[in-house]
Amino acid sequence: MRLRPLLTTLLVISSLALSGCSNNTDRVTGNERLLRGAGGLGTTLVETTVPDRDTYVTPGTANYGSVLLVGRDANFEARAFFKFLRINMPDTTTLTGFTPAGNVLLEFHHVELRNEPLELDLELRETASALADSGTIGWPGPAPGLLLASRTYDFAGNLVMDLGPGGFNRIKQWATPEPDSIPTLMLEASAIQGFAAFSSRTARLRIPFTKTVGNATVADTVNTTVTFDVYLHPPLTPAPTGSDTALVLGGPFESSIAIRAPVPTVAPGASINDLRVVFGVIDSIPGYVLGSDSTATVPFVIEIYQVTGAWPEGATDRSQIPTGTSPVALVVRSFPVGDTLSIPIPPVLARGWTTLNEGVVLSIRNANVKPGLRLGSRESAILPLMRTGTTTAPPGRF
Amino acid sequence: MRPLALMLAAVMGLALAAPSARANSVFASAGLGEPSLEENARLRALGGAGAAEHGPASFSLVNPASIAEAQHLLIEATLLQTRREVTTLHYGDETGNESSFPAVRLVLRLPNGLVLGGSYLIGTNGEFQVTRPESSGTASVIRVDGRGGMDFLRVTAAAKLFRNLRAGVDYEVIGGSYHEEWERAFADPNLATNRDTLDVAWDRLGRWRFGAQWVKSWISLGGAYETGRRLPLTQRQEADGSVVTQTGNSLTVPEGYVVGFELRPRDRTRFVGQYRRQNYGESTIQSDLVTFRPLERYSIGWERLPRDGGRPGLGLQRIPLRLGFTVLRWPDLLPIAGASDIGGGTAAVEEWAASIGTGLRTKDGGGAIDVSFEGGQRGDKTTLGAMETFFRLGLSLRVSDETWR
Repeated sequence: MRLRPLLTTLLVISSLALSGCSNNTDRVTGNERLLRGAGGLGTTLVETTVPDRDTYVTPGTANYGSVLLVGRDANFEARAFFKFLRINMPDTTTLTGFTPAGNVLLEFHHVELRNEPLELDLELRETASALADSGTIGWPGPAPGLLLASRTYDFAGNLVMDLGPGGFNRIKQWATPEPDSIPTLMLEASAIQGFAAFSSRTARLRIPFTKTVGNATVADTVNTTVTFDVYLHPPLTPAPTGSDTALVLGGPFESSIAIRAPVPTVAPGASINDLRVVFGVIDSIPGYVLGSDSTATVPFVIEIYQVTGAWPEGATDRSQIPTGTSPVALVVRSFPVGDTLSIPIPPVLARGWTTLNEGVVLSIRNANVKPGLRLGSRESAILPLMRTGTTTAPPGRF
Repeated sequence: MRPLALMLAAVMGLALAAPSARANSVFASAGLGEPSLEENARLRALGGAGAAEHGPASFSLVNPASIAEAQHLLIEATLLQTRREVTTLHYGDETGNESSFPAVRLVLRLPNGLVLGGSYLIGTNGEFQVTRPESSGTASVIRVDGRGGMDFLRVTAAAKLFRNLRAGVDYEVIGGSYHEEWERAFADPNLATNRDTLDVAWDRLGRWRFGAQWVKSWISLGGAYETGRRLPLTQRQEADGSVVTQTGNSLTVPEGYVVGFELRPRDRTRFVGQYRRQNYGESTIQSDLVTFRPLERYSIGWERLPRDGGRPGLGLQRIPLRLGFTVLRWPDLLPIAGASDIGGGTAAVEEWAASIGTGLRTKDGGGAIDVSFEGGQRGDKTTLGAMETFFRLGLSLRVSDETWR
């Protein structure tokens, strides 16, 4: 008998018998011996608490965002202001055959809104006084001054304001000396017709001219892009009191909600499975939604800021509620949101809230061009609730 | 040797490729875990009785004097493929497979007669996997993956002191850790799955083992004594955003000893026996979940050695035949079935196994392939709620510098 083939066969048979994927290993029988003390394997509890402070606040009356609103309706008004630090002028000392050609234009890049009027009467003016520093700009801003141009805007393409035949000479005066001689410009609606939106920091001053190159006359344009712009709107009236039955999130006044609720103590080692605030939705604020949000539901982003210090429930301005400059989390939702708005909060916040719980501030990113929401406050019949889910630490091996 | 190497590679490949789902001992989720028999397949087939094992290429890992007669540079590794059938009181039955490498060893003989060795071996296996629904508070499903255990990194020196006396010494570092990953998932989509990790680690400290063998042509006696070592423990629990570390407890690896014999009543027959004890006790570790008693292993074996010469036509007499039997008393005293901790009473894990094996050697005697097949049981459904029947295929490959010539 040859032994090696026999041994090989026996080995392979034995190995095949003992290898292969495990059968019936549902990992269940191990439970019979997973005994880790009277406390079991950990317990998950979900507790709800009612906020003891809530209000809504606005960030002032100036908007430095990416979309400039201009217009008026029954509830809201917005006027835009522009500043140039310097203006690019054709170099008449070196250009051969320089001749102004046509009127100076100020062009605004149109951003489409969902519900635009058919026409909007707009005026471009100098302001009667200089614009305040950005930190103190507020409604109504500098008074309107010299009318530079007016136009009935039909929303076909970009808005172009024609500074008229004397425009080039006026611009020359603005440029001497820069920037003190350059006035602040403002764009406003002269009638209650609705709103137009323009892209921020893209408006440009266009100076057309001709020059001689060789024997030919060539048309050219010098452009200057606006350095600074902002739009102002009136303050929210009536102002929040801290005891309102509705909390406003978003909308044209860009309201943020500040809310604080007690949470159960989180023991060291415990897991936080859920930390969220759930609001009942009263109704919505349609707002001035971008045309690019053309889907049936409008996506929006809720920014969550951790409140870092004490705040009064009667606060009316966002600056009265101390937070970090960056949100600790973003939550994407879509409008309409349904009967409730559930906002998960980073669970790690609850660990710190063992010693300092001042709650969170909730804001809608680019709220001026998103729908807003009116939500039930703790003074209403549809209370907001803070929901906290925790699991005790699993027991150790020894 | 080439066909044998190919055969072994194929078998190892089968074993290693298979166990995507693992099934470790149901008793490994508590205490120190499943005690591992660190010996090669040759000694596993003899019930693990190696205290008196000696010879140019016959080694045991329980007695450092065992390598004193080594003549070559030798490397030996063992693969263990295990199949378990678990029956429990409340959770039904399961079967599963797993692979492990209980030990790897290197032996080198120096010109002055001193033999040095280095080895890595598994001490205990703390691996387990559990999935269970949990109804304490909000309903969830818990999945626990435990791994780790105690292992040893060892250096050995041995020499033949007199004609009949061999002596050796081990220094080994006690390594390893116990690591568990807990995952708890919820049906409620608002509740995030939480993941915890639990680690039990200890300072890597060493201990000594002293061994001796008295060898005659028909009888050999061997014994070894190992020192104990107290290991400061660090237990660490980590959840998302939280780390809790506990120190102050300790794990005491106790002193112990092993004694054994080899009898050769005839040229081709030998009997071996061994008693091994490690004095675990209540002071091993302070815990409400486990207490300890001394580990004890009783081993006995019989081997029919191959006929010399290797002439063709001798058939099965050209290979050895080994039979063995062992009884192991686990050191862990675990909570009895129905109790949540040792306050409700404890029960011991008793284990027995019968084994059979054979092997092939290269012409120089330095290289070998040994095979063992073991079957046994451990546990008790009445007291512990669970019982395991296990079958193990052990494969050891040993090569020497002579093997390649």
